[in-house]
Amino acid sequence: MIEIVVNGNNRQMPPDASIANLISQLKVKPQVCVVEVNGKIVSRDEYCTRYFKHGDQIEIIRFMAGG
Amino acid sequence: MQRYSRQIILPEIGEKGQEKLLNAKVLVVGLGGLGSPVAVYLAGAGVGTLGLLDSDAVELSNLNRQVIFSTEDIGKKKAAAAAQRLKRLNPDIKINEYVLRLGQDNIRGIISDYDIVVDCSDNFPTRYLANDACVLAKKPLVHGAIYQFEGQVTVIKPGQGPCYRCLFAEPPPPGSIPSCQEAGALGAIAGIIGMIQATEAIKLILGVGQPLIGKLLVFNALEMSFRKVDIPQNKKCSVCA
Repeated sequence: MIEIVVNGNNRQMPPDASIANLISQLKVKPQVCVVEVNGKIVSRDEYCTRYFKHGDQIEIIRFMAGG
Repeated sequence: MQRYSRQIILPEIGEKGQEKLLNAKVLVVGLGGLGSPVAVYLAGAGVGTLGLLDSDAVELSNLNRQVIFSTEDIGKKKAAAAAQRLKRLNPDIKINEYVLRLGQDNIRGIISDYDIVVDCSDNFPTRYLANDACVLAKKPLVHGAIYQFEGQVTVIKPGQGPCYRCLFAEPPPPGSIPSCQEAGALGAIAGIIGMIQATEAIKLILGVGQPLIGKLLVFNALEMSFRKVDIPQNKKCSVCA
């Protein structure tokens, strides 16, 4: 297992885990969020092929428009 | 000046800062849960000209969070009811009412009269429109949004950092994000986010502190956490690049 940081919280993931795996675990739909890995926004079409490394800092930022 | 004495004491404000506030012109887009505290605190601080923009009328279901209104305002246009309340709070400031929806046809003319725009709207088309128009007009934009128990704030200062589209390049598919009407909204959450927006607008006017330029402040009320996330500037951004 590797350890990554997701929205400030440590999380264990299998070494072959992708962004798609993570957001699926978190029950977040890809079209309602933006994902940053180590400060860089990852394009949605790379979610299945972008694998994590130990220590990666992930931010899952939700779209919201309420006011 | 006695009205502002408690903030004039602050070394970061003083009489010079108060003059800046009195000379400032701020447009509040949307008078809902966010726009209510934004307008009240900016009026209280003595922001000299406030534009209040909303096409809607006050409804009973607004009153859990839209603290600028009272039960007797139900049915009145929000811009007019809010203006009435703010004139009682601070008769020294100028208030411009706009009972309309922002669109491609009117936004440039309206924002040209203001120094800062505060986005308190409740829908994606208005948020993208406000971002794009402010970037093109080089107007600072204080963005705030809420969803259930969460909120976000950022400051877009054209030429000095990323814009809304650098983070959220395109709107989500229609219907994929429920509105407050569908998903619910707790009044205090709107209050917290709105007050942070008002604080950021005041900091921009005064030129003090570090505004949330290039940072997204993410608030989660259930965890009671605030986190600052870096927003990278998109060198290929369709609006600000």
